[in-house]
Amino acid sequence: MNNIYDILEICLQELENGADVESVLARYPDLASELRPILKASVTVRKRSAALPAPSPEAVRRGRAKLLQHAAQMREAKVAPRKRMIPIFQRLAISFTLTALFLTTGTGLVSASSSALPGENLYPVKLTWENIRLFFTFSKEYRETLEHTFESERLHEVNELLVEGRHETIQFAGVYMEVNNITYVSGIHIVILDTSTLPMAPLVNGAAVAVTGHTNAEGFVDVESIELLPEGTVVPPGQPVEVEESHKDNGTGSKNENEDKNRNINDDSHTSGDDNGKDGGDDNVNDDESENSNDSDGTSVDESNNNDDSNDDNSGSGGGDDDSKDDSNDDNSGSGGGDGDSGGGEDDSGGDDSD
Amino acid sequence: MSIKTMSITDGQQELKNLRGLDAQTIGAVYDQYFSEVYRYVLYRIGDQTLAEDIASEVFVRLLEAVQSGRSPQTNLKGWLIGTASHAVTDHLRQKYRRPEEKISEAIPDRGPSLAAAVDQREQNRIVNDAYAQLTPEQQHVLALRFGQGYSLEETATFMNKNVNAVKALQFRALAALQREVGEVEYE
Repeated sequence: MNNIYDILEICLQELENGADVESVLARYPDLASELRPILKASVTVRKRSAALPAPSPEAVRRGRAKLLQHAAQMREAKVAPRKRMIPIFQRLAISFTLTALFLTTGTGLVSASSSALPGENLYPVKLTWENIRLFFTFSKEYRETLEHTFESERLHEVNELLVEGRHETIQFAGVYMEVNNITYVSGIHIVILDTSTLPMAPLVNGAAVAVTGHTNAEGFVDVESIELLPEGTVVPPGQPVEVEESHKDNGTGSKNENEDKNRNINDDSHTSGDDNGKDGGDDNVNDDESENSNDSDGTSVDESNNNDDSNDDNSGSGGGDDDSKDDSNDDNSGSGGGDGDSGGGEDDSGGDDSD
Repeated sequence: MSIKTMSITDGQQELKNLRGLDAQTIGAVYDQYFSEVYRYVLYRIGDQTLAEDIASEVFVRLLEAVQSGRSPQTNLKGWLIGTASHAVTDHLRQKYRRPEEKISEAIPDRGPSLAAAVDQREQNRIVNDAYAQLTPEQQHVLALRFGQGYSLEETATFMNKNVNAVKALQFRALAALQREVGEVEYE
């Protein structure tokens, strides 16, 4: 019986190549009577296919907008659940701690910490305060604004440390650039050592990267590791390096991991509540969301490119990331990059475990 | 109708990029596959507006699957078509709650005399009705082979069956369709 199935397939292919039913059947006289109705049915269903109307352009646009809108909501939802995972009693504890802090010290401590740098006693207070501000900010737009500010602050801190020639462990995110064999990330001079851990994929100018390393008295950062950040990651541009302007444009936004990692390093030694604040790092995703949701409002993706030059290069870096890393990294980046598993530096801190 | 070729790694890069919910990638995947998915759905259900809705729903499901780690294992197009198939089947089940036994020879054949009496639209209606009487799997195989023009091998991959099983299935599907349509000729 298998045979007739094979013969049918041969006949179908001949029909598809333009033969007509009877001439095809003529080759199989024994089976002609059995195959004839089958082949006619195939002609019928093929005709049915040819009569199908194309989708209306309107519907295609609508479906596209709906999809992008949905993606934007998913990005948003992805951020929210992690925040909600903080048990209520922890929230209360944070609130009490905050209130106590205000009552006993006013905001003096907080404001005094605002210029603290990594390694200083007040630096954890600064980070905690940032986290708290993010934690109690419910407007997405304003959260984004805050995150931009805080993430740029990470870059500023590194610059300050370099100016002061101090040796501190730091993590920050920025735009990778190599000019005349000198490497920069968002304007900060970095030196890649033999011992530095580099991504599998080659680093290209304009890639969004997270740097773990040490500041030194020579005015640059000794790199411990560089990670490519997933595509769509927006990182602070820092101070422009002269020369390649096209790449300068990239780092328009802020970068969570930057923030996260710094916090991880510093927070561990101090506050327990900081883990909550780390979730703020997820809001990098938020940054993307805002762009994307704009897209989904009926504008094309191309427009997002125009709005933000960083997209091109970011996506490039994202591709590199994929190549160079395990899926877990991708997932991680998808979930906002706040998890400890995305990089060695974060693992060191281990602070995310409490999330 | 040309037989489309397919690579087993089709869409792997898109899949990776989709995880980041990147708008550009999502838009590109939609642009690349929407009309194919739509066409499949339309072939199955014959209603243009409904097909547009179901097809776009398939892409939403893709995002959700990718995010929840249930991302397509083999290739993206196959996953989309498979999901479209399920979506259509779910829809039809919900809408008609059509009992399986209706797909039997209980429906009387329509004689050749009918062909002369009906216009093209009526003929289409008869074919559509006949097609709707097939089992979901039979509909699926006809949609893939004759609606989409996929090769036997592609169809087998998409249906997760071996080639011989698809040959037998398409034989039975065409035979069942012909029984439903009767001897009405469409030339």
